[in-house]
Amino acid sequence: MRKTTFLAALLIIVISSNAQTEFNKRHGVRLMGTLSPGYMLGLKESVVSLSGSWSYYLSEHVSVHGEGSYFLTSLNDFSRVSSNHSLLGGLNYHFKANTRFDPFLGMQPGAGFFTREGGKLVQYKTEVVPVISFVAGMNYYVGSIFNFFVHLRYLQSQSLEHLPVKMPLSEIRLMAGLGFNFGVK
Amino acid sequence: MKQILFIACLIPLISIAQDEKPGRVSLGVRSTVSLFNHGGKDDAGYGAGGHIRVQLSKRLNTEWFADYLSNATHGSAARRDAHIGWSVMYYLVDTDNFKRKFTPYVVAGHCFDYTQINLYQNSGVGLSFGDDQKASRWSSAIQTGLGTHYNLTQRLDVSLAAQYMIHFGKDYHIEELPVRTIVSENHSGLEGHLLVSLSINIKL
Repeated sequence: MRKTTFLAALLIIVISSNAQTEFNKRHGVRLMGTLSPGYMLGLKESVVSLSGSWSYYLSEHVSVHGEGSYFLTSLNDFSRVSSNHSLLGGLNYHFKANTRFDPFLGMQPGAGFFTREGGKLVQYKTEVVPVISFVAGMNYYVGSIFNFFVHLRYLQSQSLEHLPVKMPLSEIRLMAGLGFNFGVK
Repeated sequence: MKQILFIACLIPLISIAQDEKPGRVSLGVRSTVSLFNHGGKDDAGYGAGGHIRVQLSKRLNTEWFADYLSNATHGSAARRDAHIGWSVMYYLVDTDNFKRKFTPYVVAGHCFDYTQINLYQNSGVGLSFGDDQKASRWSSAIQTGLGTHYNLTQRLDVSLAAQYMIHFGKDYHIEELPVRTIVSENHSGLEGHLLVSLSINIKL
């Protein structure tokens, strides 16, 4: 028990001392790709997408962010979603300058490509829908090449192809893993 | 008298000349919620787009925007609007070169609007009442409202604006009886919607 406490304390000290090291992200790029689980709030479906994103730091506090997401599957037995891909772009505000620990908030509107599941009998066409999207996340820069990240994204849109039944496509999406960075030092 | 008038005409130019960075350009992306579509309380729509801002003087900014919105209308029809237009923003307080956190403004402008109405005859439970119908039109619109920047830094701001947009031109509505159909109004009327937009902007 004592040993575990000691190791945990040591880890916190190492991380916090690292977090205070001067670190320059301006003009740096970070890239990531990950499997991202999501939950569609309106349809009450758990889904999995393959997501990739890039960020370019205009300054220590501002980055341009682009993201693409490819719908893989729904985890529900009877899904109403055949596909729900998205392309997003916007800006992030980073709270801390010159630190390895990099919490941020961002807004990236974009387009969604939604197809309703029609089973074997019906083939629905893909609908392009506008998407409102916000992200909260944090990156931790291990060094000049790698970073750990956890991003939580909220997406809001709706499908109108099947009115009078409106299909809400709001979703919370989690992205986490190991990312690459270039030009940060 | 002519000399006084001439000097009076030059006063706005003096205010432009005193600005630190006239012609400053910003780029931004915007998310929009469209409310009270066609006068209805329900059927909120969502939209996404972007804009370029070109500041003319300390108190005067312009916004050149394009966005795409979709919302349900009359229960069984989808309305999709693409806007492209411009607005003038007048700052109600001295911007202090955007060092202050909040910068409220009045906004007014004009846009061109492409509207497409799709009437779906499928009941949603597998029953169909006929063929789907589609109608589209180009129109013009004006918009006015209030907004504010929240300046995260001098170069980065989040802006919230509420504008009422009034469309000019022939409108479409859905007639339920004897069969559901899209009907084009014979007269030109006024119809509009409230647009609440949240944007994030970077000054170049």
